Amino acid sequence: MAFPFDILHLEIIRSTLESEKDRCEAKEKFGTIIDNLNGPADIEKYESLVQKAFLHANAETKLESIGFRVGRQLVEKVSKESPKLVTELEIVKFICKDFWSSVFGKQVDNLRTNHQGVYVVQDGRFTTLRSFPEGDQYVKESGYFLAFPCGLLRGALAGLNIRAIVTPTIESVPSVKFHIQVQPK
Amino acid sequence: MSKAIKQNLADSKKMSAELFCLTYGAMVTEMLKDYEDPKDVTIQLDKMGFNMGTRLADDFLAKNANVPRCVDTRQIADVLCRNAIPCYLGISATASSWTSGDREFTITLEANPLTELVQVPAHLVSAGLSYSQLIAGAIRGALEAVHFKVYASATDTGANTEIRIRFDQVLKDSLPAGEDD
Repeated sequence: MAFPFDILHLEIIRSTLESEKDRCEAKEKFGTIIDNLNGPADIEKYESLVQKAFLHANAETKLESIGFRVGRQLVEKVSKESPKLVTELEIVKFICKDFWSSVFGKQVDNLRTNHQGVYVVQDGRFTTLRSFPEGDQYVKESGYFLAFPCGLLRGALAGLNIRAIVTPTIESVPSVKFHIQVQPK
Repeated sequence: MSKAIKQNLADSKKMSAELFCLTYGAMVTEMLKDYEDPKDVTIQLDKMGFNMGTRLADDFLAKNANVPRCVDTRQIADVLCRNAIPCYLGISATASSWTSGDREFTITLEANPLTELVQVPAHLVSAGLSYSQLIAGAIRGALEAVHFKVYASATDTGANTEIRIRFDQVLKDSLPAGEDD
């Protein structure tokens, strides 16, 4: 059995990027008509255009919010059998070992912290980038493939009561560093 | 080195069912916010499924060298129900309700993993949302990758998921002049 997550993830990214293109086009179109608008009645005629141009999130935010939702649900399942996690460091270690193994297929390779709420997690062969050619050729494109995992991690931490900002850094595919910055309560 | 990479790639495909199904659910939720009409979401799911299906056909045939070239619709239905659907969804499926001289049939999934954790509101279904249309689109895409043009639509009932498949035609490659099939 092999649920085709990688292929689903790819299609979500493609679909999100297409929506992004639609959103940019809607913004341009609104720009061409804005000079002729006179008051609320005119704006109402273009309601769906305005919604598309300004109320929809951009591609990375959309991918991240999908990941957040999944992460918060998954961490409940993964942590069901675990002993109670008390300290912030225990929670982050749980994410790096048990959660990472269950969801990404292996543990992280390295975890560092300054003991002031900042953690740097390194994974030398991150799962969503494994099918890329190795090296720095696709470092730019790989950003979209990390938005969902960042949301997943932020959601998992949120499910364990830690509010954090998660951002990725790539120097060479498929090695990724995730920076976790815990926010004050 | 090449062996190790292949092993890692194989391992990475053993993602949990829950990751796949929760991701799908979160994606559908997000799409319902973006599109005003649930019918548009269904169309988008079918398109995404089609793209996935063309890739999955390659993956499936690479893993199952013993699957023969299919010469009729019953054989195709058999491969889908016995091999392909168990391989990617982990469930069994049955083909039934053959009509139109064996050009139409229904695949029934008794325990669809996509809908296991999901309660789709009735007003969305009546407005045109077909939650499992991704599977139907994937079947359409996979069969097109092996030169069979079909139409597929998914319907979720309370207990199972039914995918109605209608064969249209066999697609022909256009060969360069002078070549023989």
